[in-house]
Amino acid sequence: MIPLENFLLLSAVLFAFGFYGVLARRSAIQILMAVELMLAAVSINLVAFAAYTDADRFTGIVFAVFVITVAAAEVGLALGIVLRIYRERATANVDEASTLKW
Amino acid sequence: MLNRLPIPAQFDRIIVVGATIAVLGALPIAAVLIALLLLDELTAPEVVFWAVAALIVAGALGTVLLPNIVHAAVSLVATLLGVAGIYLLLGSEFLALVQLLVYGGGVTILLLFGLMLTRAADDPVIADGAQKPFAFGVAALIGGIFVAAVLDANWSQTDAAAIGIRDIGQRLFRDYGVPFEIASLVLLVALIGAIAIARSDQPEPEAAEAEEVTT
Amino acid sequence: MNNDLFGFEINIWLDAAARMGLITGVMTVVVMGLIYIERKIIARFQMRLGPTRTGPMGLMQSLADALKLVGKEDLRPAGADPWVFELAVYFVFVPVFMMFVAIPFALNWEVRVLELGLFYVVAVSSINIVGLVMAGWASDNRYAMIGGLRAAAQAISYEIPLVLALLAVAMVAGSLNLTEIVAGQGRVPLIVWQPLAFAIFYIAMLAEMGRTPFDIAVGESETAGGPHIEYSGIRWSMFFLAEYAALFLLCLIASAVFLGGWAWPLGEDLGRGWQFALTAIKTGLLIFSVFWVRVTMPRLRIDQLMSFSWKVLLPLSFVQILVNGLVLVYDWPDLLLLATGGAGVVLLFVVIDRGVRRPRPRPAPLAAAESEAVA
Repeated sequence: MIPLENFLLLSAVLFAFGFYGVLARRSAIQILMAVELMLAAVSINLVAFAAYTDADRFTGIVFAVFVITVAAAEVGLALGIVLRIYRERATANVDEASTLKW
Repeated sequence: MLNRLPIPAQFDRIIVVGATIAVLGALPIAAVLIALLLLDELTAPEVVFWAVAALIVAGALGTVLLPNIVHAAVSLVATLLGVAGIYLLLGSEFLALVQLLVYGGGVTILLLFGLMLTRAADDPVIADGAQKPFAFGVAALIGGIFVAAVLDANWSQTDAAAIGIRDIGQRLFRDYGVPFEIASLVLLVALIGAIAIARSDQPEPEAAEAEEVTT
Repeated sequence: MNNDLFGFEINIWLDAAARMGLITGVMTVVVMGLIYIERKIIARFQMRLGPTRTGPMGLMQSLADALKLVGKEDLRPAGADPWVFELAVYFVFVPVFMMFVAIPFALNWEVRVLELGLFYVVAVSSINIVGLVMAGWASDNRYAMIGGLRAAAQAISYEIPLVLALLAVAMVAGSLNLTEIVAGQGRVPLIVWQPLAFAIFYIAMLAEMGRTPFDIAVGESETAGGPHIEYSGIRWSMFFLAEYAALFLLCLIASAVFLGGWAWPLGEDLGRGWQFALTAIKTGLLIFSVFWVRVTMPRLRIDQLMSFSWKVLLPLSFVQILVNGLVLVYDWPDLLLLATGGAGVVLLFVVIDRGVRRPRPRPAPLAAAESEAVA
């Protein structure tokens, strides 16, 4: 049997990587990818707790389903915004698109 | 010297060096795992866990460190597939398949699409920002806190058990019916919003392209 | 830990390895057979003979082709991205072969009975789009890139009706386990109750595999082969292995889910030989119809393709799911399913027919010039 701590450690490491990516990257799409890493880490945590400590083994799984749903919506919207910015400013890097009005 | 060896042209320097590095990285892990398995120190699920964990960590490192944006996207795919494996180990077959379907078939395609439609297709190498050392410090701090908290705490735990699809369906649509409806509304709003944002103002051939992206 | 494989007790890891080897071997042979049959059938449709020289009736043609492809030089363009270029093949190839795991060929004759078999097949098959986009980008070729993007747009658009059609069937069957779905069909196969779902699934299946009339991604006259353009030798043959394996597997799934697989109409009690024969006949008919469509239909334009998926197939599959839900919840008679499904199929054909017959919009200057000439 795999101890619960293994999953939690994995998710902690994954979250830290994602956090680093969000802070360090410049391209908006790379930041989105890092956000996906963080969301995956959170989902692992939820499902691990649901499987090991929840009496009816279920709530965490529902939350993970919702996390996946919202992540899909978020990527769709964010990519729309990135494409729009790219069309107007010819760049997809967040530091070059720092002014609200051009 | 490599040019003189009678090997297919595919095995050029980059591939050979890279494969050597990958094998050198993966071989010790595999050897240790197999040794522990043979010594009955680890059970088969644990071996699978460590292998999947190695894949996830390697993929995550690639996602945040590789300078080439498409390479980063490909390692993200590896990570997300690994996460599906973790869900399988946790006894949630359904969630693993949802992960495959949504991330493998949807989100990563969207990301790659976004890459191709922006300049990344021609100029995929984007340098990281100047805040890199700071980011590293903060991420290390947060990761350290999490790891310390996880190791410090003590959870009463039971076995991971498989959860049937019927239970999930019953609970999802009965107990969580309203959140489910709200989630579907969120998706609908996101769909419409993405079309509205990405669509160009003046009608031109690009409009069709923008619609595809929002799928 | 030991597992049971054909009556032998073997180690669990060996078991996995043996099953993987079995899948790959069987699929390679099946694909070679399919390529030969496709060439023969298409040749007949076009009043040719097809391969005749290699072996009796040209039966060895596929083997000869395979040997030629293996022996061919394996090229990679100088500007290509080496890693993505090499990896893309496996992203296309592996998921298709993973689909094989859940498919029932006969009673108790599958690699593994999965509780979520239908969902598994759909989820796994969606991964190979990543491989096509990777191949398109890594080839450093404009045609490959356009082809890859077209393949991705097409695949994610048609995946939604495909999944929804299967979902509608799963609602009626009350299970996602492929074996249970087959066994539960009893006297009447599900195509009778769900003709609309079958029609949607069939069309979306053609699009998912990228076959004519939905082969805009690889169309020779438009994108010169699409994502595969820069691949040669064994890598190219792996792309085609994956494509034909997907054809075979999707037809198998359609025959299991809609046509009653190994059970209908002979029942479960007859021997394994009959079950295999039934599966083979149904799958063969479906594969033949795919080849038939290929030689008959012209290729769609990309805007037609997208709007067909989003404006026709998707609403119809939603309607199908809604009707199924109503019938199941309120215990309405089953005949209602038949009636609405049949009406839906008729509607689908009317829509397609109108789309085909609609006069093509002409470029404005040309039309203006013509009207002047008439005047």
